[in-house]
Amino acid sequence: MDKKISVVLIIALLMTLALAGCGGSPSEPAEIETPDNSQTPVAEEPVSQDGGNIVMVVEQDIDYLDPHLAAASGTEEILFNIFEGLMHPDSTGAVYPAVAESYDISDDGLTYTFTLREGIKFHNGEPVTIEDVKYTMDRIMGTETGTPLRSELANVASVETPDDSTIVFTLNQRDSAFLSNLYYAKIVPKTNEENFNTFPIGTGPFKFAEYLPEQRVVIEKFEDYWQEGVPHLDQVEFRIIPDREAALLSLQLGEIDMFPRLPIDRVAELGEGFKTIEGSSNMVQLMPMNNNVEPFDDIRVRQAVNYAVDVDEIIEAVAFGYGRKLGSNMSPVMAKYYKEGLENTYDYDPDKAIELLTEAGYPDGFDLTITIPSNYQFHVDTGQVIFQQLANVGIDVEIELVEWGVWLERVYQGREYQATIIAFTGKLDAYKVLNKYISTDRTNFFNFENAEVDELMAAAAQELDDEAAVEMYKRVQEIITENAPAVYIMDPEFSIAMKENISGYVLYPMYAQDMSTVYFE
Amino acid sequence: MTIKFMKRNVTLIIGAVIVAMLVLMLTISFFYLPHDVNEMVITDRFSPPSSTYLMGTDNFGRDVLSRIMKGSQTAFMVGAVSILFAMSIGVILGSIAGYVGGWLDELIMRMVDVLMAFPTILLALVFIAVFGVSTTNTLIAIGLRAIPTFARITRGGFMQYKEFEFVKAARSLGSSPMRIMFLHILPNTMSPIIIASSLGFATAILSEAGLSYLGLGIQPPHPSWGSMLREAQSYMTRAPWYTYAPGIMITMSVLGFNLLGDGIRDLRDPRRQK
Repeated sequence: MDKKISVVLIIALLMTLALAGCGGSPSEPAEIETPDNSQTPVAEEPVSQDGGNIVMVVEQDIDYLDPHLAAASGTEEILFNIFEGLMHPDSTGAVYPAVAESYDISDDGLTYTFTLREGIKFHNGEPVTIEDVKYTMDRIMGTETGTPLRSELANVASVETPDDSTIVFTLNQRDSAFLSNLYYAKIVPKTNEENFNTFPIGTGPFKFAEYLPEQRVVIEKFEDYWQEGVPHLDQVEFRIIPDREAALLSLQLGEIDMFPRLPIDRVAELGEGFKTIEGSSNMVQLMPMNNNVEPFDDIRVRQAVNYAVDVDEIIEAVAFGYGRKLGSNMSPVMAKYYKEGLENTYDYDPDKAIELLTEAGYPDGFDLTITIPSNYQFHVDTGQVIFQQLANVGIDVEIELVEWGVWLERVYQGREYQATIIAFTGKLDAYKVLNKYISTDRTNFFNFENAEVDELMAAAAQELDDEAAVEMYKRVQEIITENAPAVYIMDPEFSIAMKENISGYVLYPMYAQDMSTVYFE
Repeated sequence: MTIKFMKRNVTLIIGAVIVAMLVLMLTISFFYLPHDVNEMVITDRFSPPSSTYLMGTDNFGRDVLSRIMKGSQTAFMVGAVSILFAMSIGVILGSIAGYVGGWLDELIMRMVDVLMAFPTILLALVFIAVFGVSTTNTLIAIGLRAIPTFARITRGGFMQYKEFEFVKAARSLGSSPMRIMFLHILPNTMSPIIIASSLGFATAILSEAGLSYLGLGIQPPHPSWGSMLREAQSYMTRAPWYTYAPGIMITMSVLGFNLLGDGIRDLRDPRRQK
């Protein structure tokens, strides 16, 4: 489990380095509605051309082809095309029924009944049966083995299949995130049991064709896909090129067609023949301060640091102006949950910072070590700017670069640090974004403790009234900002570059490359 | 005489000139830097070389020349301290092994062999992973790997000289082993040790640059040629001068110390001359 989290974080941070992630377009703040029972995504308007092959560059090799073992975000975005759960996310971050045709929630919020989509097939041509669905759930929950493969279904008490097209989940307690969690329970055929990690089979718009480690993953059009009109492309190759400079060169030479997560400041280097789509990454870059360690056990010192750090200057210096200022642990991409106005709580004010430091007993500042994972130049650069800014209020910063593994062990798990700079990747569910502030949470490496946050989070998780839950999450963000366990910096923007004749690409507020809507003009 | 000397020792002259220039830059950097090394002028970022910024500016608008000059302090400090460290330990180990011989010789030299089996960067990485990133640890890590060279050279010299008449004479006069080792034999082995120091100096600078390039050497924002190179590579097409500056400095210093070392060897060892 620890390892799984680590891998997720590794990839999370890889994204940061690349100024990256998958973002929803910031220009249209999507109101994320809970989908009604039979909502299906709007089909693409008729396009001029079907067919064609696309090569998209990805930065890292995949960790597993088995969708239930895969934990890396970089794998997630590729498998997004091959697999679907009972529910599947759309580009607003909401989920719609995919392998399920419809669903029904009982009044007490504990029983979910899904009806299987009629006529839906696996890539090998076999129809999806309710046994396959049940088998998938059992496999993830570890019903037979005793060890669950993923934590997303931990809240499920039992799974029943009363007839050939119905599956019923009974939950231990109310869970507002259950529907979106079902995306991770990607439906697989029992008959493919032997080959899950070598030749995966799912129900998505593309079928798996080939995987060469450290070279490429190739997927091909699935003709019998249940949604009409997609996909358009015949084949997509995800080419693994870890070095960004090399990847950029390949794009310029025309060897690859699409480049996700290109820092916006580098778009100018592309030259003619390319177009880009810009978006926020739904990430939160921040400088956590260890709330248990002197001098950060004093809230005044944490606030002073917040006043002393000029976030606007960091955005300009490190992200070339392409980042959205944050005030709490929530990206504006999560429009529904985002609490507005917090980003100006601690406007740059060095005088105020010195005042607070003096009050707290540090009139001459103090020595501060900021531990930064060395493989993320983006964070290292941020640290260099903060070094200068804190020097202005007398805080003597020393930057300590550590290897990623050391960072995970010492900072993230061991919580032995003063301050660090890191970024969290976006989650679709506000609970998963904010749960690291629960005082008992394993990932609360801030050592943040606030009774009200604990209560609100516990209540929000079980709240079925969406609006009430949203209000609770917003309040949590406020409390976090007030208590300043970290300096919240930015959600970096990025662009996805592609050849001019490629259309239909849709950004997601999560790690996903949806190739089904992409086509050549 | 001078011309003949120069003809015969081109490498020595070139090496000495390069090293002299580096030392000059180093000396100036202690008294004068064109700009504050960490001062960021965001509006001036990626300025090409000009009269204000002789080597241009980097992605934060910091003056590249100032950082290069400050970085030379880092490079020389790493070179000097790690080599002195390696030399003092290596010479002592080599002297004992060479003079005493027997099982002690075996023990010391096998330990040295073990040390020698590790590539410098790998050993440094392991060392830093275990003991943490700090300038001191970087110095020790680089120095550790240079010990075998000194130990072997010294041992070789001692093996050779301990059978010489003057050593036997000293012994028969009742000199203590310490006196014989460090007063009589050691001076005779100095010349290969000096050559090894010069070559080792170059290696140490390169190792530090390598470690800093990996982000594990001198910690930012303090300038080091290796970390500058690492930062510069993202902006290779936009600000080529930023890549050239640390790249050329590393090349020149390694080249300089190598040529100097080779030159001294040619000078001191007539057998190698044509």
